[in-house]
Amino acid sequence: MSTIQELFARDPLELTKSDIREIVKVYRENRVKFQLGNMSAGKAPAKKTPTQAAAQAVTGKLDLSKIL
Amino acid sequence: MIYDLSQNSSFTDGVQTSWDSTSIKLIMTCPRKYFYKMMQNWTPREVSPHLLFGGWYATALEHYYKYVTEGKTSDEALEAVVKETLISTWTYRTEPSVEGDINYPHGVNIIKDKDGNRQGYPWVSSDGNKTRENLIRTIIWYVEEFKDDENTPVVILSDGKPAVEYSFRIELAPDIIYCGHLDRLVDYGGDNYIMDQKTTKSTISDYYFKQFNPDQQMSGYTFAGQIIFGIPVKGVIIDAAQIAIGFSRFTRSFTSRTNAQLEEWRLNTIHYLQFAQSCAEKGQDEKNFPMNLESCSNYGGCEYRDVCSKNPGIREQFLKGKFNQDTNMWDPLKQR
Repeated sequence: MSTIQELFARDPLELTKSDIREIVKVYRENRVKFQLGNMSAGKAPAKKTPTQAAAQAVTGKLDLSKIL
Repeated sequence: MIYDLSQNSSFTDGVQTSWDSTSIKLIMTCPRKYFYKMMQNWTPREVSPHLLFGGWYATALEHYYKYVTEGKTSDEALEAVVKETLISTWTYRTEPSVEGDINYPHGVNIIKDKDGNRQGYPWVSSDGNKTRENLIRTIIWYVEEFKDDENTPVVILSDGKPAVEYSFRIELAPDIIYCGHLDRLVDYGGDNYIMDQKTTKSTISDYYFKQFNPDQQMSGYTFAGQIIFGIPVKGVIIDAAQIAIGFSRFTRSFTSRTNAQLEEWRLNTIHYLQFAQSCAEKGQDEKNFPMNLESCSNYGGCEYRDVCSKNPGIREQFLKGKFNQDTNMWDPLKQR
């Protein structure tokens, strides 16, 4: 499952119905939390730093079977 | 510098004859601002995030109600406008089309990488509250807040059609057309109201809503509603959204007008528009459009304040350095 940041960072023409539903679902859940008193429930998640993003890009391509 | 206004259908011989609330607000705020923006098309290199955010938000809600009226479920309509808004807030890198392309020579092609992926990037707002993520959140939360609202059904007109999506042109006086677009006319407790949405970073209170009476846009919408629908319209329902970092909060309020107030608005508006026309008839020169020195600092400061603060002799050079003057003009007669 993609995180909300990944969905926002993706080419929107490539987003599927399921992706859009996931965005709607997350924000609906955030609204419920806000209504229960969490005043920062709708805050956008912090964006990854360039280092974190680069690290994730590399780890996503690692194939341990080649070295085991 | 003379700007070519012949492509703008709202102008005749350099004089504006068709007016919407945006251009009326400009001339009422400051004739010089009207001149720079409406007649010379100088736009800041960086468009205000508040304008962009408000425009995308209004379009999304307009389309949401349109899709529901056309028969989509609320969920289907919401998913459609979320995707549309994500696309609108994304910039694709483009290059000029080449010979052989269908859109050659006027079109552009989206640049793709070696794997065929389109190249682009999301809108990054210079405002901490009015961001892309918070825009999507506000659209979704608005629909959650009001989707089951049974207090404001759309008015069904005598021809059986719902009163949604109306572009209008009304003659206020000879050579003065008032034009615009109304999203929805609703019935609230037996009275008819135009619906409108606003966004703000401020906490919404009674004081916030005081700005809408008197207000030329709200009076104009009420006036137009009475004329085009042919039924009494009491005023405008304003759904205001407070956009904070962690939440979007909605408050609904009403602003009403009497017929005497609407007639006063009409005469007042004609007075200003005839003044603008008399300025333009003297020629396309900033000297013909006086500055309203009392509005320079309103709402965080006019976007042209730095221009007007310069010596007249260097203003054009300054404008060329800090602003764009593209061919995409604001034309009130262009229907959305």
